[in-house]
Formats: sequence, structure tokens, C-alpha cells
Amino acid sequence: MSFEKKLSRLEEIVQKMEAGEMTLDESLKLFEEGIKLSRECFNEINTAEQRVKKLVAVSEDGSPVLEEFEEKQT
Amino acid sequence: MSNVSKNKIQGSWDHLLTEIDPPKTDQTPDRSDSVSEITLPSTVDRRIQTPVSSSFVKKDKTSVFEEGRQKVYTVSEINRVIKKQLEGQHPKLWLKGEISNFKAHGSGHYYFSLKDSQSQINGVMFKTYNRRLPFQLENGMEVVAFGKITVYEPRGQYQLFCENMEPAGAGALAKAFEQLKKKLKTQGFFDEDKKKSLPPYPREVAVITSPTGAAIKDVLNVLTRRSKRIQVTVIPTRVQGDGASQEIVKAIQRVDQLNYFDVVILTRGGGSMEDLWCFNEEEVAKAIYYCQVPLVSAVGHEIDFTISDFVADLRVPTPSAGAEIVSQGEQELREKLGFFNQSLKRSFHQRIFNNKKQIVFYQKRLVSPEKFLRDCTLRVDDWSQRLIQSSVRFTKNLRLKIQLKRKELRDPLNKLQKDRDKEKYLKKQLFWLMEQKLLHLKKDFQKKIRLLESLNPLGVLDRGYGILRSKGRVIQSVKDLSPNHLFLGKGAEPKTSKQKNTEIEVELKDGFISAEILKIKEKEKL
Repeated sequence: MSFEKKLSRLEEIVQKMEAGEMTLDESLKLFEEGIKLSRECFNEINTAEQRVKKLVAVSEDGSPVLEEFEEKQT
Repeated sequence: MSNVSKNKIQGSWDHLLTEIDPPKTDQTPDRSDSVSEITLPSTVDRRIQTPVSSSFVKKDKTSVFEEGRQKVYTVSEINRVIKKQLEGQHPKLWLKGEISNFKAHGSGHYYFSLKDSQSQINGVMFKTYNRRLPFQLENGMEVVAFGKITVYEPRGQYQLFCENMEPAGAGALAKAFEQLKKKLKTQGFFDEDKKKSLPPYPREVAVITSPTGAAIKDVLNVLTRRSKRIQVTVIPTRVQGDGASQEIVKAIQRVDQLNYFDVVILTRGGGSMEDLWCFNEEEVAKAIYYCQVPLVSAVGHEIDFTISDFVADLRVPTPSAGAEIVSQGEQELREKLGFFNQSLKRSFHQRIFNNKKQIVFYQKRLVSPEKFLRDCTLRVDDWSQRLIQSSVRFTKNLRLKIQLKRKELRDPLNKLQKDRDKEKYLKKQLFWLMEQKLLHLKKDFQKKIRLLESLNPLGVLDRGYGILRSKGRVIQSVKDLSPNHLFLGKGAEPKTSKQKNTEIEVELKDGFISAEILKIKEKEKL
């Protein structure tokens, strides 16, 4: 599931939980799913590694050709 | 020359060249002594005469005006020569000046002059060239013009043949900026509804900027601080000077074609209007407009506004701001995730808590059989207690009654005797009462008799009184007698006086007296 999809599913779950009209079984399942999703999203924004690259060319298949970008001193 | 004008010229010089004879034509003129100070501008009419000094006379007493007479040019010839020389000597050049005498010909060609504080030069820009101008020429505008010096032979004029022109100087630049801004706006390039919204959580971010400038440093600083998730790709371009706008256009098109980036930041640091001019070029504006990837324009400082700012999907005042806006979503997301987590836990626990409460509640209400039994037992105890008590009382009462009754039943003689006694007593009572009554009656009767006796009229007689009667009727008052002494009595009819004096009878206790009334005298009332 893409990041955005995970987020919107999480929001959906939170709203449902707050509305509260579910069986105990359902609310247990949703709670689990919600906690899991929120953990995953949190991880994605916290443990990602940022890379800075520069575009050098475009390859034949249309994907970018990237190289390390070094900040030069002016 | 006509005779008239020739005479004119001769005439005016005559008084100065009286001693000078025209030189022999085989003499070549000595150019080193010639005076060539007269260089009239080509547009000045040659018929305008200037005063001539004696310095035009050479040492050998020949006139300078005789130089080169062996070759007399025609106008066309000389113009052609000039054209060749002028055009051959000057390659294409850039010329700076102020526009004046601007005329847009009906043909679409522009004719104007370029001047500075001291001189001016003609200019022409043909339609093919001038229609590419992004701005409108106006008198007074400072420009740099690119072209070639050419000569228009038929008129003997030289001019700058313009192929390209750019506004120069702040005023001109500002004007050109306004013109382009207006033009693009009316063409709809700035329309708000065409602007795309930025993705909230972009991952691949392209940055079109100089790789060595301050802008990229700022952008990277902000992005590394605010987000780990964002992957940055720098697309190096020039951001100033010739060719910069083309590079920028190419970079934007690359981003568009690659279909790889979520958002692109077009940025450079601060500078003058000239420095930032490439961001005002029409081609850059169009490239931004047609780019499918959301584009943020972060050019210059807060006060700088460029055309790219207006066309872009979002304008931010500085490069750092561009980085911030792009990572904004992620910042807010951290908070949001925190809230979601809390909310999830809270609502879950709340729900469980509510369920627990319900259970307890029902539990309480659920009556255990023991309790029920206990309650019943208590009640039964209570009732049975009361029942016993009341029945005891009842039986007690009943027993008493029975006792009494029994007692009565056991002594019937006693009762009889009692009744008899009672009878006797009552009888006695009765007789006594009767006696009493009789006695009382007797006494009463006696009393009455005595009274009666005392009232016996005849008793009165005993005391010495007498009763008077007339013919058997009692005479009580003197009025009962008529003057004739006849008895009237009550209800008696008056009798005639024929009768004699009334004979009255007097009864005394022991006999009767007959008498005659002699006289009546009524008592006086008191």
C-alpha cells in the first residue's frame, strides 16, 4: 500500500473508532490494524535515509541517470 | 551644377581668391597638406555653406578643393563605396541607446533612432525580427540592440539594422516586465484554476538551480532538517545571463518528461532585475505553464517578483521557503500520526472501559439465587413472626372470651338467683315509686282541695259576708242595677219600669234576708 493510502486508511480507522458503533470483535481488529499502520507510517518518515543527487542525463528507457551531488564551495 | 549655383559659389569666394588661378590639371594634389576637417554628417544637406577660411589654400597655392578631381564620383558610386567600406568594416555588434523617433510602419517594420546624450544613429528593425520582441518599443526606452551597420544607398544613410533587442536599464526592464506580465495574464498563463496543488507527502523532489549558488545550500539545509524521507535531485542550470533561460526551459521539460518527480522547485538567490531576468523570459513562463509536475517558484528575495512566480503553481519568497513548503506535509504528518495514535488508543480504551462498566452494572443487577433466597427467607421470617404474634393475641382473646362464656355456662343457678334478686329489687323499686307517686298525688290533691275550699264562695259567707241576689242572679256591682233599681245584670234585657222596686235577697251564712233597695250610691273612683 502506498504511503498516502496507508495514511488515509489510518484516518478512516481513527474516525470509525471514535464513532464507536462496532462490535467488540470489530473494534479489536481495527485497533490492531490502526496501530500497525501508524507505526509503519511513522517509521517511513523517521528512518528514511535522505539522499541528495543530481540529474546527469536521461537514459533510453526514460528514467533519470543520477549521480552524487556534492555541494561545492563558491 | 547649374549656372546659377556655380556663380553663387564663385561669387562668394571671389573676394577671397582674387589671386588664385585654377591649377594645371596634371598636377597631383599633395594630400598631406590638404585640409580635411570638413566631415559633414551624411544627412546634412551639402547646399548648406560654411564660411571658408584661408587654410584651404595650400602651400603651392593650389586649392584643396581640386584634390581627387581626376576621379569624379557619382552619388551612387560614392554611396556604394561607403556602403562597402562601412559594412565590411563592422561586423554585427551590440549597441546601447535610448529609443527615439519611434515609428511602427504600416508594413510592420520599425524605424527609430538610438541616441545617447551626445549623438544618435538611425535604426531599423524589420517585421521578421521585431515580432519576436517580448516587449513593445517606446520612445525613451533604454535598450541594447544587436545588429549590423548597413547603408541604405538610395538615401545615403547608414543605420543599425536590428536583428534583436533587449530592454536595458531598470526603467526599461520594468516596463518590459509589465508588458510581458500583462500579455501572459490576458493569455491565461496565470489562471488560478490551472494551478496544481502540491502533493502533501512528496518523495522525489527536483530542484532546478545553480549547483554552486546560495539557493541550493539553503534548500538542502531546510530539507535535511525537516525530512528524511524526501529524496532530492538537483538539476544544475545557469540562473543568469545568456542562455540561462534556455537551460531552465530544458530542465523543466526534462522534469516533465521523466515522470519521476513528485514536485519541482525552481529557485535562485537574490539579485537585481537584470540578474533575475531569465526568469522573466516568455519561453520559461510557457515551459512552467505546460509542465505537468507541480512547480514551486522560489526566485530571489521576498520583494522580488518574476514572471515565473506568476505562472508557477505556487510562489514562495525565498529558496528556504520553497524547501519548507515542500516538506510542510511531513512536518504536520508527525503531529497527525501522534494524534491518530493517541486517538486510537483512547477510543479503544474508552470502549473497553464502557463495556466493563456495563458488565459490572448488569452484574450488580443480576440477583444471585442465594441473595434471592436470603431475601425470601427474611421476608418469610418476618411474616411468620407477625403471623404468630397476631394469632397468639387472637387465641388469647378467644380464650378469654371462651373462659367468660364458660364461666357463665358453668353457673346457671347463679344466674337464675341473680335474675330473681334482680326481679325483687325491681319490684320493690316499682312499688316504692308507686307509693311515692300516690303520696305525692294525694298531697297535691289535698292541697288543691284546700285551695278549692278557700275559694268556696260560701266560705266567704262564714266570714260574715253576704251575697246579694235578684231573682236568683248575683249582683256584683251597682251598675248592675237600673235607676229603678231593677236588676240588669249581664246580658239581661232592660225591663219596663212597670215593675216595682226590686226585691233583692241576701244570703248570709245561716239564712236569707229579703230586702228592698232604698238608695244607690256609686263609689268614686280613686
